[in-house]
Amino acid sequence: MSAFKRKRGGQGAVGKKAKKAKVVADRDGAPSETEQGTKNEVTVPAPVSSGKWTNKERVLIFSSRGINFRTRHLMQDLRTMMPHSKADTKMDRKDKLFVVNEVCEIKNCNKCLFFEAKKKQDLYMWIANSPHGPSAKFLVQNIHTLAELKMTGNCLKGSRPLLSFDPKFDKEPQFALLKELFIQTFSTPHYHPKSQPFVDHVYTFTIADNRIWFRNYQIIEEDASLVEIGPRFVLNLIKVFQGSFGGPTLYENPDFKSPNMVKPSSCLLKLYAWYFCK
Amino acid sequence: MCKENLPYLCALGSDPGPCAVRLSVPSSSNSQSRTDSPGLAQVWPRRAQRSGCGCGCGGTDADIGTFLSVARHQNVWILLFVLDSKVGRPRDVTSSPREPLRTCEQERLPSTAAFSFFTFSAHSHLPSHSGLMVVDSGTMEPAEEQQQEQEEEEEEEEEEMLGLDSEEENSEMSDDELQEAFASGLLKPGMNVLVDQPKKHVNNVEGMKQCLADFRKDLPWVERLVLTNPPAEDVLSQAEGKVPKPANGDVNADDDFQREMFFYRQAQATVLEALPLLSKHGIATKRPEDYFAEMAKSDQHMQKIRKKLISKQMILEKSEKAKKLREQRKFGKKVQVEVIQKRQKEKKAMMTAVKRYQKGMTDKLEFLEGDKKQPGKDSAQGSKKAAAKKGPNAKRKFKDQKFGFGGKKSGKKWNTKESFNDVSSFRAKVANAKGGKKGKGGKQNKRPGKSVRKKMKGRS
Repeated sequence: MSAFKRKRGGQGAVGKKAKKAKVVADRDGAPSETEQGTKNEVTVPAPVSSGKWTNKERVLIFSSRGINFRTRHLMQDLRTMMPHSKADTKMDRKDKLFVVNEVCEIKNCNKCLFFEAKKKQDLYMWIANSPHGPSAKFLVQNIHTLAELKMTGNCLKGSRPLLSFDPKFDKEPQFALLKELFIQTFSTPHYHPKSQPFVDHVYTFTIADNRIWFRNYQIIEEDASLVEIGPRFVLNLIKVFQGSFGGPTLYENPDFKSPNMVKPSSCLLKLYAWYFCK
Repeated sequence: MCKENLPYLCALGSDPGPCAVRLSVPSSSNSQSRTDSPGLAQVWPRRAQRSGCGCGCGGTDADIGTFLSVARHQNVWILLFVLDSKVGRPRDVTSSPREPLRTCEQERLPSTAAFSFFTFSAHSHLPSHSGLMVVDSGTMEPAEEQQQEQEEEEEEEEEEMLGLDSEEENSEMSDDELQEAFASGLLKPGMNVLVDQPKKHVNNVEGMKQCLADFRKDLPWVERLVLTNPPAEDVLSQAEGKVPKPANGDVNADDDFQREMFFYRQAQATVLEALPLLSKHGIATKRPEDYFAEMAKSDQHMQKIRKKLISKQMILEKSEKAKKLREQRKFGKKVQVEVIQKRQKEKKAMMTAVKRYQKGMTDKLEFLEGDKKQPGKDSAQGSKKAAAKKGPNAKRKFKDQKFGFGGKKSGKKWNTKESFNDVSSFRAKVANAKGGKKGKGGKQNKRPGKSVRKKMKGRS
């Protein structure tokens, strides 16, 4: 069993299953039976090996400096959930944003999820199609990670998700564009070598209050009883660009209020400070 | 800030009334318009001069304060200057700073609170879009509100102001003109600022559609596993007959429970729709029992979750138990109280029965047997019946006998045959008792006399 050569698109998954069976075997001491058991059972789907991985999507998930623990955990959770993702080191904020494109190219990724933390308070997320395609910038709020004890569901690591969208996504052009971006970024390609062949969780993207709400549920029963796995977050669209991390602006959200605007300007603050100190 | 940008300013005071302040500048563009204005040598620092009081005090040019600083905020220049300590509201200032102040009816502003906001636009050819406010801590808020109000009226006023200004530039601004302008409503108190056009937000629909067309990938459903659907029917709330959601499907983002249920039902609808499709493509959603693979959350983490859930349940159970116990105790107390009351009632009934027997109203000793024959209620009723049966008591009888049925029986025969044979007044007990109680029954108390008690005391 260990002599199986693990090939992409070859006998890879069978080898993987065999490896797991071997681990069990060390405890039980009955390796062959388990393996035969999995092969004999009808419900086990065709292993990943029997299909060719054609949809080559790779997502680069990384962040800038100055993120806090919640953001870091969110990033790790996304990497866990998406087997077609790659990680990279933190980017210096001194570099301009188009440098991200180069990083993507080096890593051979065609999608990118970039988290940017400003003033140690606000978290911005860029989602981009790396060389030419559109990109969008969001303000991320209400982050809850996988590790929260209220999220009681669990799923296979690397299993393929179902994606569920609100019908409102088809009504406006910017949402339609975002929907396509989300689909291509978040859906795990079929027969990806790190993916599991079962479909046991579902992502939902809903539009409410002019924001996009993301949830992740585990499918427990065939009658569609669900339990939340996490993570969960809320995206507030800022801008959609035609290019990747730049280019002409295609859409600007009129309802978006920058967190900076809520705070008074430094000039007025100085005046008030002078007055009160006098 | 260069000299040319400091224009001639027509400034107006805050709500109580208008006032004007002129900022004297030796700028070339404006100097010819005011031939007899006193020119000051330097622009900075600037002594602000006030040219006339709008409320009619009759004050003329006077120094009122010193500049401190300047700043620009969103197309508005803000100059800070401090009014002189002897200056109250500008209207209070008299003709020259050296003369003692002539006060107006309004009260004077304390010097510590006196500083002013002074604004003017960057366009030097539109000088009079500014207002002077003398602000103290109390009135700071309303002035700013006024500024917002003024902003809308700004546009309309511009034309009139322009016309007015061209006149004024030629002639020196006088109090009367200002008064007229204010009266006619052209010049309003508060800050007048230029307002930007509302920001236009990019919405390049065509561009987006084009981009989408370029970017879109047409892949079989199996690759992407995408479904778009509205949420499933809310079976529970319909069963309970609750009010249905708004028909347009807009969920209230603030109502947490409703919102989460909306998302949940959306996911449910997707799953229900997707399962047959998945089975058609041969993709399973259920994994077999012995399929061991790495999970997104580690086993350790799931243990923690389980423990937390169990502890929550325990807490709930404990609180339930405690509640029940409290209820029981209350109930027990109630029961106890009832039992005590019942006993007291019985005792009372017994005592009354005994007393009745003692007084001779009844010669039955059935009350001694207790509850066996008669429960408490019956005995009370029984005695009542007996009393009722006896009819009127002895006193009544005697009185009837003496006075009833027509009055005195005097002069009538007595010791007749009938009265002799009448033995109704015979009391056997009394007749047969030998040496029983005398009169009231002799001594009610059995207490021995003093000598006997002394003897007893001595003995013991």
